Amino acid sequence: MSVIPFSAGSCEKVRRQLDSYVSGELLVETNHEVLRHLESCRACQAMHDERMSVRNHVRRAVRGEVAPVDLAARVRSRIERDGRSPFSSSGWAMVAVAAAVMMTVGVLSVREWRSSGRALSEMSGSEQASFIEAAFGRVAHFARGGLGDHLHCAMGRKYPSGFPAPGAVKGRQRLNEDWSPLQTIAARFIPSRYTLLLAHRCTAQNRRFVHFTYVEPSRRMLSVVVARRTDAEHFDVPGIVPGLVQAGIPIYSERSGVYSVAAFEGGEYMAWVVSDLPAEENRMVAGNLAPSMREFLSTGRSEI
Amino acid sequence: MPHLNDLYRTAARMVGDRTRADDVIQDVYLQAWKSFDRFEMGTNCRAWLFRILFNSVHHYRRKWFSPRMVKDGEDVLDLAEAPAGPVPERLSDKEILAALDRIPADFRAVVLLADVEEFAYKEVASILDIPIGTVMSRLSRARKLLRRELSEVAPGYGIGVGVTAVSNQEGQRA
Repeated sequence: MSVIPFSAGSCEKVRRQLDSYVSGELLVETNHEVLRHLESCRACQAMHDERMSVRNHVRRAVRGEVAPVDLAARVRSRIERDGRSPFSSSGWAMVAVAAAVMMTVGVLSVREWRSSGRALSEMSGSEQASFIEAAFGRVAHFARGGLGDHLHCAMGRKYPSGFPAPGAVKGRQRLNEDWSPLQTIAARFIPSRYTLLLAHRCTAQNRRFVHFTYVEPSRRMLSVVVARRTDAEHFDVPGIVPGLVQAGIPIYSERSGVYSVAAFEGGEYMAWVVSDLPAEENRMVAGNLAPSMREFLSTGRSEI
Repeated sequence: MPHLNDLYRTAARMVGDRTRADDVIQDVYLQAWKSFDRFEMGTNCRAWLFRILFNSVHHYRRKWFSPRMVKDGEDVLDLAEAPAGPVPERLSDKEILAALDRIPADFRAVVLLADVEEFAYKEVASILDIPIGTVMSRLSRARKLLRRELSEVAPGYGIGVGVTAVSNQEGQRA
């Protein structure tokens, strides 16, 4: 073990760095230097410990303050009262804020934000907690994948300013030969006012999926998502009935907040159409897509 | 609602009063809702909300406190260099919060963002719209001030001093 000679000079140098050290803001090398000095200098170590102690005290005390249980409800009603309608001129932005802001707490909040069901304020603290915990659980399991991908990939993406100006549209990016025909199939059945914005393979939240994002002139978005079906994704659930049967293919749908989700099976895959269209219209899009897509998905493919 | 607790506890410390904090938070989310077109997708949503929060806090503090109090300068803080005794190991949250409320708002803001909310210096600088060097110097002085405040906490001191203490304190500083 090397002995580090420390003089008053090196103590002074280390002490100047102590605050940044405590904040984890030093470069690796400097961090290491400070650490080694602290190991061998009691005086500096004591100063360090004191900073840590103050920081920890403050952190604990401030974090102990919790927002009133009904604040979220008050915020929502304030927005309902003073905010603009979500589908005014900047409708897309409104939906996007809901999506980005809500993603962290799951889909329930999108529903919450928009609907006037039982307010959180009417619930006890523990009810609230379990309500929020169950957020994703309130959406039928089969719908979660596509909805999550739509929020993650279409709504959560950074678009160039002036979007959706011509030129913002990207081609068959990152789709290999096995999967790119899907783009042609989708193009045939998506309403013509929608333009393809992005066609790609994506990985998010441990899911790999093929994702087509479409946008229409008023900037409302529609996603077509395909992923390998998981064991949890099936329609064999009591109480779930198809909203539409197209050419013998049952289309299941679910509504969550402003979003409509329609899903159907194709071979080992599951396909979703997600948009802010009315549920019926969204289901129709899925219904139109289903026969060709299922045929395509039923033949062997490489992994997504 | 994401970040609601983080924003609320920061607001409560910055405006010193729960009712006011409540108002500020409603403003923040309303602002966020209205100005989302100015939010760059892919950037840090939490930092963006905190930026809106501090704009609101600044606005409220101007309204509630005199300008002089809002702009509590760094020159008053030589006291921070004065030697202080050890910080007691057992301190109640109330005592700690009261100590935090006694340090100037500009310094408190940096402590809240860097030490409590764990933002990087760069993010703190962006949220408060100040240079990184200022973030560092304020944080360093704030920690010293806090240390001094906390070391002066004797057993029993500070009991009954809640968040409302801040408005009294602002008054005294004027």
